[in-house]
Amino acid sequence: MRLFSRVFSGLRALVSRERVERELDEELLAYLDASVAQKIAAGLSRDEAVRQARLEFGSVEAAKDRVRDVGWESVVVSGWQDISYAVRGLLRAPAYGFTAIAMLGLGIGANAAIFSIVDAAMFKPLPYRDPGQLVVIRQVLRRGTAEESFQIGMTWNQVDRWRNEPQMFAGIATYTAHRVPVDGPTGRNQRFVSLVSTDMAGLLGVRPILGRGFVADDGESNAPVAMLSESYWSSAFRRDPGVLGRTIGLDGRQYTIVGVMPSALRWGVGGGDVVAWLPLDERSLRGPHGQVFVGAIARLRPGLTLESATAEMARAIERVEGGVPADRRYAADLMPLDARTMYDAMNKTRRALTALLAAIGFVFLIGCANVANLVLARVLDRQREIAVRAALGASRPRLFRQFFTEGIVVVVTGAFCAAVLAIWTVQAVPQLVPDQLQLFDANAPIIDARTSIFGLAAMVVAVIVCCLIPALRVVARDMTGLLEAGLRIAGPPRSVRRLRATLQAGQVALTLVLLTGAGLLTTSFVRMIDTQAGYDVDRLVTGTITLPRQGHASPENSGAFFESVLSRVNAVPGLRATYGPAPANSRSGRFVPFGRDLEHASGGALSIYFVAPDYFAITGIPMKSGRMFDSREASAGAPVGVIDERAAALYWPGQSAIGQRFRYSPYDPWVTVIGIAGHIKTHWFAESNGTIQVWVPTRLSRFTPVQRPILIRTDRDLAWTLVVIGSTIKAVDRDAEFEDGSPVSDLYEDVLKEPRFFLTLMTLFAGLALLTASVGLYGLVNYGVAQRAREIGVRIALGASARSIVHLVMRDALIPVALGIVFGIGASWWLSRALSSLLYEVTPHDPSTFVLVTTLMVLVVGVAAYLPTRVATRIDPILTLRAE
Amino acid sequence: MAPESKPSELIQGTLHMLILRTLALEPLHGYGIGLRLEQISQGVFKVNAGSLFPALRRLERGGLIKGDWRVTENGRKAKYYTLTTPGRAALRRETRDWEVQTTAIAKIMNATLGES
Repeated sequence: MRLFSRVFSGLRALVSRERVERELDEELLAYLDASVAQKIAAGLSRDEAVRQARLEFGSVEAAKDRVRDVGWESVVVSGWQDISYAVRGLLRAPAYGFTAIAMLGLGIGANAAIFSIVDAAMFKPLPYRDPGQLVVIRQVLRRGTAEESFQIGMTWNQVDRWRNEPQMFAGIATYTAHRVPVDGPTGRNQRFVSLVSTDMAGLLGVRPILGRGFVADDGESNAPVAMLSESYWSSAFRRDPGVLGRTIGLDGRQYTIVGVMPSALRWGVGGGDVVAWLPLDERSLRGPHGQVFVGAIARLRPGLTLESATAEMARAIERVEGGVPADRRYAADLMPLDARTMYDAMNKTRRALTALLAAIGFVFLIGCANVANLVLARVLDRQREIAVRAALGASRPRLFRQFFTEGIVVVVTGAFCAAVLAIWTVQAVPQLVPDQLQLFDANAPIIDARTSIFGLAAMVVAVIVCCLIPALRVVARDMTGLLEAGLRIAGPPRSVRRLRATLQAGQVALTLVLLTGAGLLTTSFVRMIDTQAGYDVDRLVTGTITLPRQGHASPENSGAFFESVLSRVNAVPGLRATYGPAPANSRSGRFVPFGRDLEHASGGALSIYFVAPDYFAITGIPMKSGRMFDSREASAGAPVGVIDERAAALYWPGQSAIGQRFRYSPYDPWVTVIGIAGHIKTHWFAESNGTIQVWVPTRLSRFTPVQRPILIRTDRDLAWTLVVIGSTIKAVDRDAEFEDGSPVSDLYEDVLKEPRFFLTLMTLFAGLALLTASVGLYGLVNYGVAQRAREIGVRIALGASARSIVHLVMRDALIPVALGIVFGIGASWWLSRALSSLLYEVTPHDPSTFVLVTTLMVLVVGVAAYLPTRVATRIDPILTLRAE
Repeated sequence: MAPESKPSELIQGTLHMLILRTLALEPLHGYGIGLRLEQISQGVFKVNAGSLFPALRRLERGGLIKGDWRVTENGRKAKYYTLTTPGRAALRRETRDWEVQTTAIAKIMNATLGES
């Protein structure tokens, strides 16, 4: 009842505000009248009675304000007044409004956008049903320590052993991937297709966005069917729903399109640029000759954790492989399907993304500090207004509300701009991120609830820094007490100056941290570019020759073809060719020297090159000692090889490596070292591992008969050479393809894409921070000059030199800057370790980088602080003194 | 307790109760309420307009009193406040609470060492 009456009377007061106000006026007037009448009756003169009644009453406006504050509706009314007052104020000071809103909009928007990217790439669960239950089964051969266990290919039959373990898995699905010629609307291209068992989509819980998924007998049916990937459907068919029932040529066969699968499926199977999924034909995989390796994804039984499943697995291995010696058992590891945090490469990307998120967070904080300073400056400018309001009876909470609202209007407008910016950025970003990062295979970045919550959190920070702190300053005792003191002479109170100095120092420190991060990445990037290839990288082109599987699958068929291509290319004047991977490309393996203790044998990863005897002659890799294998050893597949000088120094220090033996996988023979060559730059030279190289005869590899990498040294134009190679291959066999043809020097460009991407963003953020901080400092010093114009005028009138004026003005600004630089160096020293895994041949505490960025910082803030002082020294004392 | 030279400040809850008590006798306008409080307390409580009107607004919003415009004895318009039924109940409740409290406070203030 009482609540109802309160709500009702509040609403009535809101609706008929004028009448309520008029009644209040009349009531107060009646009170005064009665009071006067009373006093006249008591014998006072009329004038005296009126005077005393007024005196007793006090401020009419204050009384009215207190009466108005009684109902809840007063908050609405005064809130609305505050908002419209704030908007008018902003329109009167457009420079302030624009700067503040732009900084907050940029800060919050960029933060939300980067967060949505990082979230999609790393944190958001995989878009599958109960993704936590999904595991990858990897077959391993356990040897001694975990370090020495090898992951090895798994055949269909080996997967079958785990299908009979229903206590562990609710289901197992398998897949493989191939690069095949795809006849798309734009002609024939080599693209990836993934073969999946027909239950794959069901196991993951992914539904087709068009048409149907596979059914059980799709795999064994004679009418081949395919599911397109969403990305290929978009790029090649412009999302045409009529694509169902049409056919697509894959690897020379026509497949009927039965459905389109969301891109999300590619995280599990296929990877970033998969064109289509085909049903895995189990018949070709079964039986003793099923030698195709498959990947296996399993769903754990409900209630089973990864740990308990791993324990189950150990028991199952004991049961199945019990009779086999421990080091020959085909054991299995269970890995979570969501391994985004586990792989080294992913980890590096993750760290880089985290660093970017932190960096943009810093930029935001710097912007917030700037806006807070702007708001404070405005508050100080409006001392008189505050004084008048306080004198007219505005209570502290009322003043607080007014200034808080002014801040809120800025933040909310900024947040609106931020939302627009974030939506736009998030749409543009997937095109800007290098494909090879595969950041968005599972989830594309979108502005969803998670991102919105993050953006709101950023907004709350902005509200605290830009609204709450300045508004609290307004109502602080020393601010209101200072009103009578004459602000223009005294300058802002000490607590305000301290707050601004803290903000300023914080800005400088954060900016320096960002500059250091960008500086370290830049130094690292320059070192990457400067790294010598170690061979003659110019005028060397490479590519891969592929024959269609149909009709060429045997080594005899393809051998003649490859020999013919090589002799024809070598017949072109100015070209010399060999089969072998570009020095930039390589297979990976693990270097195990013969006869070492297993612990020592765990060795480093290596790059392994399967090459022909003329490989060194064509690439120009220098031979340091010993010899290259000859054509007789090459054709016989003799177990001899060349290692690089780094491997020699690492494994056989102080002795000759020649004649020693090593191997690169447990299935391959021990290889005798016959030569030592120079160390070269591979395409993963920037990784911490993979820094040694070995070269062995091609015959030692289990090569695919239908595909070979070719390497050509040319005296002619590079583009011309590539065209000649392509046409020569077509002349030998019309169905053969020449793919990925490119100059070898371009291969290093791919390596640089990822660091360049992060470097660009980091530099952008650091530049933004530097700009923001120096604009802030400039504004602050400039404001200080305006505030102290009279004091400076007096000093100049009394004969102060320009030098002493500059000193006076800059002193206040430079102390917080100096403090900020000291803290910034300390924080950079501490934080830069987080970047260490991203740095190439630079320590996170690289002294020259630290000196360089600190110098840059000092220069820029020095200029920002110095510029306003030039105005100060030109102050005309007469004018300033007159103005008071 | 010696009467103070300066009128005492009333705490808000007490002011509400006193206003309700005053209005229980007869409807009054704002100035009348202030005057009546001053007269009855023989000048101890002097309520100024800045406290009186917010209190009246609060009581009116709470539905404890009701205001209507009437003509005063000297022919002017003024807003007269009357106690409502909930207001009467509130006054009874507050009077009871007040008595309990003052008795308790009096006991404490009058207590001597021997009694405790």
